Amino acid sequence: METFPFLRTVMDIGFMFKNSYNCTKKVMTMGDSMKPDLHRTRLDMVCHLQERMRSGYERYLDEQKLEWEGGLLKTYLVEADIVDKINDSHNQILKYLHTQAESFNYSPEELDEENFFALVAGSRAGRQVKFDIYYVDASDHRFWVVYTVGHSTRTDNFMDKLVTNSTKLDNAWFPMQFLSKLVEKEFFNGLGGRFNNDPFTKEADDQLKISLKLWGNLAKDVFDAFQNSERLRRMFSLSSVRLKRYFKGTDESITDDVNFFGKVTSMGQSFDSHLDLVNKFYKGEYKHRIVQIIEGELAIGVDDQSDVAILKGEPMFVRFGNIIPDIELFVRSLFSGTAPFRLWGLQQIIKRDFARIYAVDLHLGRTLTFEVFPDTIRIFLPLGTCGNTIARFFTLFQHHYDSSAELLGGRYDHLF
Amino acid sequence: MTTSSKNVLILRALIALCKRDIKLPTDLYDLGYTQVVIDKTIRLEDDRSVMPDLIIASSKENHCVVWESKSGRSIDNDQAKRLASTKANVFPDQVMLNVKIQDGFAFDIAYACDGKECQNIRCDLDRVAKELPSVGLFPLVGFYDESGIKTHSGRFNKENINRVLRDGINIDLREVPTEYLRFDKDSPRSEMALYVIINIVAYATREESLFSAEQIARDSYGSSWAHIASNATKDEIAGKIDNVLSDARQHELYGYLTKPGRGGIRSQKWNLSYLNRRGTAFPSKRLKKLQKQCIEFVNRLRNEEAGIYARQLRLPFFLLEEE
Repeated sequence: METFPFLRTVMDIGFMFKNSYNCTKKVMTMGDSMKPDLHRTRLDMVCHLQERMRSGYERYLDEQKLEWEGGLLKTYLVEADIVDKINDSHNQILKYLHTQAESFNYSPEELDEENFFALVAGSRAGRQVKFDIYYVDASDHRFWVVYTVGHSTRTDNFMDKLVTNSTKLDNAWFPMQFLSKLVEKEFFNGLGGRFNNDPFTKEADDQLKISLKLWGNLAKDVFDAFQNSERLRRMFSLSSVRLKRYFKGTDESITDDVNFFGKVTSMGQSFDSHLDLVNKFYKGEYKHRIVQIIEGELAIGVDDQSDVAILKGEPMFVRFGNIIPDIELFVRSLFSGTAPFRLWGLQQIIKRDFARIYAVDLHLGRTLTFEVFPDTIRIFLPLGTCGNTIARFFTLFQHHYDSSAELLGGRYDHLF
Repeated sequence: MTTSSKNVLILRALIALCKRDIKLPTDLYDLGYTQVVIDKTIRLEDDRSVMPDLIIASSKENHCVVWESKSGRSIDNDQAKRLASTKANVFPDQVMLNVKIQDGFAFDIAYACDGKECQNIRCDLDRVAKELPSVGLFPLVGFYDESGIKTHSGRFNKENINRVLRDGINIDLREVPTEYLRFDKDSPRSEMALYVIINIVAYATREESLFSAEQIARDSYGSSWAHIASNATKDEIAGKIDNVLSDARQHELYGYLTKPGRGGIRSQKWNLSYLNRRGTAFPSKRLKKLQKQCIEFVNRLRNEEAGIYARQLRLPFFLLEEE
């Protein structure tokens, strides 16, 4: 059990390593004697993070500075496809974390509770080596929540590498409609937006780009103005929303920045409130859409629970107003296997306005089929393939082709 | 089940009409025909059995249609007689369809065929009807490349579906999705090759270096692989996949595909080497090169088959990456 759970900061840990270990090696490993003080139960971790949020928020109020060493709480929402035996989930996840450790330069730690782990990752900051702790709460073995208070430059980089290079992990992906629904329920206090059509055009003159971040209580007005512009409605996708909530009977508040790739940065004094938000929209709403609707109702295949080969599922459709002028060129760009979509495929041009693509999602290494019309993409997700693929494709499509695109399928006119 | 590429196309179209597809007519879906069963063996009262190609059902209409699809110009007389022996109770009891047989229930045995062959199929059905009159009542639906789907002769026992198919459904068969029935043992190699290729690229991406022809078949069919009753059929499909792999290894995928072990066709291990060392970015140049080789391979198979299939089915062409 940790004796002084609140005293050790990430900076302290970095300092401790610097003074007791030769950190000039490229791969930084730690012997047992050098392990940082970890919070070994969820309750310990919560107390620690609560304290860090409180001190961080006070500093934020004093200095009006958003990021510093050991600053704000970042929560990364990660979808994992590792466990095939539920009863053995803890061991399977731990084994997986160990297999990745060397490649991504972290040390995995088994903590004192089921499906609860820590990753201690070192990274260079000039001549120094900084160590960040990532608490992995895999109580839902598919929908992980990863907490850290490290500097976002390092933590974003680490999480991006960990997830992007794994066929077993993916971010949670929040399309425009999902983010904008969040702000209907909370006080909308800021937004981030972006769009670039780089993947679809090589000509500099045709490239369209925007990236912005703003906050304040006029955010909703700005968003509405963008939505009312025919051009910006199609070329401005929400990349983050800032939600501010006040606690009943006090003037205390908490502010959460929810990012489109499943990162939530929290500023405020209540971990509980942050957790409540994350649980509601991620483990509640998002998970329901991925597991129950996309994988459960819409994925195409024969129901293997029955002796009868009942063909289940429905196609999904991405419908958009930005008509594709040249389908051949479009599918060549979309299915080249490169970022951001990372879809590779055999492209069959059936006729001038219709193409079928037998594709592989290179992120997860799974197959799926796309059919492209000038105003619609029809998608068939095979039964057993992760529904997160659909959320990722749709979100990125909004960021790079048409931000007003809608996703529908089966009896759902709006899947997000 | 007798299928060829045209049969598969007809069955795909019938299934597609039972889905909510915003790019296709939804006449059957709107009538509630959303229950779709493939490859179901029905046990008959005289201990014989019959496996129709497809069964669709609507709770709303309280109606089932058993479809037999023909690509050629003749029918299997014995299959027609066995289908005629089907009784109403098999639909809820054996096929587990959500219909109520005591409450105005009706079902039809219907034949579906290439529009050009309707007259021949009708003649065959009428010939069998001299022995077993109920066969003569089977409705026959034609599939026409230009105009879509339309009843040729006979009528269905429920007026709504009868009207819809009598009036005809306009559908461009080229836009019918392939995903509901990917391929069968009689499919051309070029169709199988598509699924072979995407599966082996998926395995390599997941760093599952060794795979077998049977694994590709299983992953292409999904859980319907388990519903193929005959081991001989499974062997035949795996054999064709192995043949596709061997062909690719000797030509376009030379150097990519290897066969490191020995064994039976279903279990023999293959390997595709091309990418994805852990922790590195995806090598887009190698992927593009592989993509080009794969497309060339499928195009060659397609060209080889062209004399047999291309004009008949208006087979599409593939996009070749330019250098």
